[in-house]
Amino acid sequence: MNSPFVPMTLGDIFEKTFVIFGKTFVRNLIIALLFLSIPIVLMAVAADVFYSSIGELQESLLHGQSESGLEALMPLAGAVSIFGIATIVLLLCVLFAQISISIVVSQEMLSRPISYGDAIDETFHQKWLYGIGQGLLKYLLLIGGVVLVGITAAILATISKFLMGLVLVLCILILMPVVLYLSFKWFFSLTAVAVDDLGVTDSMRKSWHLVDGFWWRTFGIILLLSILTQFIIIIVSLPITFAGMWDVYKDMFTMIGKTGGNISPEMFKEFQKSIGPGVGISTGISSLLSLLITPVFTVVLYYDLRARNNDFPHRKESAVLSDQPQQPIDLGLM
Amino acid sequence: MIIRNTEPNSDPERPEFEGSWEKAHRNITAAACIGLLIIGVVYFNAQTIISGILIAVNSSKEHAAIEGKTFLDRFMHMAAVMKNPVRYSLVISQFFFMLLPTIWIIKRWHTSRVLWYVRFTHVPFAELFLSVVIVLCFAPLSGGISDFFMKQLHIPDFLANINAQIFTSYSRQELVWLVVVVCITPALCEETLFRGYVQRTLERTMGIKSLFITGVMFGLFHMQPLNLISLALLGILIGYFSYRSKSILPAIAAHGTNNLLAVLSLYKRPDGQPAIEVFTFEPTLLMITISIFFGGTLLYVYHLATHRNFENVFK
Repeated sequence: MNSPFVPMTLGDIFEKTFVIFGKTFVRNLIIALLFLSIPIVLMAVAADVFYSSIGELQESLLHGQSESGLEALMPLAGAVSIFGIATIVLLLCVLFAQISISIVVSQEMLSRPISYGDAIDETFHQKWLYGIGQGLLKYLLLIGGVVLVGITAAILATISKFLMGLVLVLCILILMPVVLYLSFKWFFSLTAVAVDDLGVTDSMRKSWHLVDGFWWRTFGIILLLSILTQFIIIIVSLPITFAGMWDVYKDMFTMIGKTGGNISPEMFKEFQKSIGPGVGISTGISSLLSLLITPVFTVVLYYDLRARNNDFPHRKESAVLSDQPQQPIDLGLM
Repeated sequence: MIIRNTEPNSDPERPEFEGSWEKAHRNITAAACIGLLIIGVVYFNAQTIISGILIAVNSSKEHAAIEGKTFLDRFMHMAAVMKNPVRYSLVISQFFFMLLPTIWIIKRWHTSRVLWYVRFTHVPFAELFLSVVIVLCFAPLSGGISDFFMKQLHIPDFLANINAQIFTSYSRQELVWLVVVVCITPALCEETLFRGYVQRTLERTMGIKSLFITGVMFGLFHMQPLNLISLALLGILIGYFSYRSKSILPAIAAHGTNNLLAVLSLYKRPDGQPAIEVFTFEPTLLMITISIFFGGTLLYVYHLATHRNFENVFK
């Protein structure tokens, strides 16, 4: 078993992630379920309302029942708001759970196992605020550039459409790599909050510093691990989502069987109305599975980058490795 | 080439496991799971890309023929257009993106003696024969489970037939081609991956538990929710053959037989009627019960027949 204080190869990262995943699985699952149970239900309800209102809107437009365009859109606007609120709640809970799981994983890496209760306590001490802060700041900085481009393009549109198009294309070509570059530079800011108890700007600075000189390596490994994670999510969530939507599929196949395969727009609308809970369940399961894997490899990579940056000073390392209080030196024995 | 089941480390100068994963003394269970994931990602993406390209090329030729028909006609026509590209892509991706990466991972991580590692070893003919008969015995159960879910879900026959187009043959030539695509190719490639690599690697740390884990993974990897249970059970049964015989050959034979049964049941005359009536039965509860009894008895015989591999355990 490799120490978290030495740089790791790709094989070491794979192995460490797998081993730590196994050791912390139960605690992480409890944390994920505690944080995600309510948001998943909320998401399923919101998705149900959203898809039902889309179906109703289509129906009213088809039958010409709408009094005015605005009135017809009102239920949809309400549904979008509920969906938006559910999404924000889910994102916040995912963030808190990520911090807690990162704490559990980090302590496991340091061979100092911690209970899920203690990890949650630690999360709500101050880290949750820093977590939200760094998330918002990152989002604003990344989106800020995109908004600026939009405003510039809108101003240029008043002068010349060709100029607007040109600027838009150029900016997208430049902005995309920039956003990608910055996203990976700040990839470990939440982990820095959870593991090193850093504040909003300090965590972002720390992540920036750690990735410095290892951007391509970090990018490649995260891409690879994310693809593998997505694959796990697909193969595991497929049967669960299918079972969750059993009644919807049953109704659909019954209707198809009765009509001999002539799928009418009404049938399609009925199906569309009922897929909401399925979408909610699938989103919830995907978030849950992602939450169980992503923080684990992120913390492993974080420690690897710290080791590569010689971020474990000798004195600090000794303190970490030895949990026992230092004994006074007996000069008589020397 | 089938090698004899001899001890691998006859040369003391040569390490048994000289691969990078083994030399670093990393966790073996992790190797099996991560290897399976990497191969899964490579295989599914490659198959999607290859079948997409082949379907695009094929459908551009046939586009004019589908205009002016009903939705169902178009759907059936699409299935007919897609079946050959999907068959070709299946063979290409199984050999190049499942079998080759498996061999590569074994060589790189574990040992250069790939055939020995996947246990491509000789077994008595009786064991091969027994594994084939046992799979045939359990076929009604497997079919019964799938049929049960299909009926519960009220899937109309015409939709099931469209779905089965890929395995349906209407001539002897097509039947032979399907045997290659559906029986030989998956039996060889999937067994090398699942039983030869994943189960074999997990067995080193988990013993018999590896059968169940590999069986469930085998079911999940097919991405067919309705057949998940029957595929997982089949995976466990095939895994048991491999575990007991310490060879991959009974597993290959059993897997090939199971798929051959499906292909033969869908072998049809040009008028659409089944060419071999005996394979088109609908499993009844009595049939399933009798087949489980015979299958179970033969499984016990197989257990006794392969006892030689476990004789040293208690010594």
